[in-house]
Amino acid sequence: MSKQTIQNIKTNKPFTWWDIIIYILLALLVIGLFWGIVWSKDNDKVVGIEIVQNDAIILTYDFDTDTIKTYSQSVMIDQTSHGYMVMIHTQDAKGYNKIAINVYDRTVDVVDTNCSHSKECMHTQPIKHQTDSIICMPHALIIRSRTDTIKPPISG
Amino acid sequence: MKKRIVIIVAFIIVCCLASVGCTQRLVTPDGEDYTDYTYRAYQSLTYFGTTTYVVMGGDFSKTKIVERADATWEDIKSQLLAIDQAISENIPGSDISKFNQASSGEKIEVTKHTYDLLAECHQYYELTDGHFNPAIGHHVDLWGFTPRFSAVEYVPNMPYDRDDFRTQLPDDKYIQGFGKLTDFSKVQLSQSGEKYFVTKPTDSIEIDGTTYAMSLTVGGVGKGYACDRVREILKKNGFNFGYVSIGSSSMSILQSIEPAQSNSLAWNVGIVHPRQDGTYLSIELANTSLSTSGDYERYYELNGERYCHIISKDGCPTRSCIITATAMCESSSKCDALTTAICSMDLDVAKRFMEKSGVDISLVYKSPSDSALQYYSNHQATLLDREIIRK
Repeated sequence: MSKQTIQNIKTNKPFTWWDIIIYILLALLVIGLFWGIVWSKDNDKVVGIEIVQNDAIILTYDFDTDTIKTYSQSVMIDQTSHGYMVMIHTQDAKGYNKIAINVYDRTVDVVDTNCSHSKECMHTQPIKHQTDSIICMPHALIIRSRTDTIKPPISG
Repeated sequence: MKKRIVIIVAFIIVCCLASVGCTQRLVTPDGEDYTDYTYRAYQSLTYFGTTTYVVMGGDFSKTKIVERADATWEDIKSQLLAIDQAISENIPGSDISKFNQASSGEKIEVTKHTYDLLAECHQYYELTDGHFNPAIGHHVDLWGFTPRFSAVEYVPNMPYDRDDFRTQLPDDKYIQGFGKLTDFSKVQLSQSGEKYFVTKPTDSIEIDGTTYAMSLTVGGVGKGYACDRVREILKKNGFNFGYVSIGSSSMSILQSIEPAQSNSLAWNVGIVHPRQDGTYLSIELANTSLSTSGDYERYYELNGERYCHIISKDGCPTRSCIITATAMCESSSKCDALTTAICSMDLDVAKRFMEKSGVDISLVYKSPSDSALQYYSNHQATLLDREIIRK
């Protein structure tokens, strides 16, 4: 860059009103995008769950209002330091699933069961997001996020 | 100065266009206005020992559409129950159970579902040169892939059962013996008025004093057959948006409200990675069916070998280097049959079959040289995560 060019830049104003307006618009755009990303992340958090046994809802829990409701005698609920421990028995009373609801982390997890040799429901990732669910096939139990969000189609 | 004015004006125009775009009506080529559509999902664990997930798209702000969707789900459940009770070999009294318990040469009356499904099986058996074969019921049980083996406590009760099926392989005399009962072309179908019949082949064998006749298992196509029937019900009730998934492996894809990358009515369908969490492939699909099979669905390992639920022509779990296959065509049951068959083929045979099949198929195989995972397909799918496989 020549000395003449540097001198020209120094003598010109570094900013004009138009520059400032454009910078403000760009700043607003960046803030808007940032807010959108943060909001969409929060929006993906689980707001409530429902537990379905043999195609009937037997328990619902709402994280925002800390409200738990049961609709079946096969459900027993204990309060814990992290939230709730839910024990669900099968209709013949031989099978069980023990489910931990952590109200602080907003997670729901199967912590014990006698459903099968492999206990797949126990090894499924805890419910954290709106499209998450845990399925216990032998006990016909679905634990799913209460949401209008549809699971994307995944084959395999 | 002028440049800045142009930038400001362009900014305002873009904002205006975006807001106008939000109010534009969305209409399919068939004239269906789906601007106000949302989704409703229905789920059940009652059928086929797996999850049924049905998504319907419609204007659910209208009560009559909600009622129609709920009524459609009731129709679907009735149909699924009827199919499950007809074809499940685990339900006592089902058509397939009756067939398996019948003596060789016996003629059994069956429901139309079973008749239609077995008629389709004949086509797929012939099309795949016997690689898809429903007559391997004994082998599936012999190798430990029927539900009784996943119970909390496994109780050996068949003459060929081992004390621990996860550490002991089956006796070769059973593998070879049951192989003589797998000629599915000998299963005869007949119809008399509104009655449907299946005649069991006359073949039988005797091993250690026990007589065995042919045993069927239609799990390989049953979910696909059910998917096809559910899609028919959805269409009949006017639901052209959504999708059907039975056990994730069998799917019927309708149309999507949210546009995919290049097709405004397509769903972005992910295909499960056979060796990692997540998907390895993403495909834009609308108004089609697909199925995925693989050695990762049900398997156990013994002495470093993986024994999966897909049985080859030799009566053993497949040792093909193909570890997963996905097929896309008009029929979910056909996709089911083809992917099961391909996973039991040698790679060269599978590639030749794919070229003449007329069906879009993707597969992943282990490279014979270094066991690296390789991708092969006979179609131009949208590959989003292909690099994962190449590593």
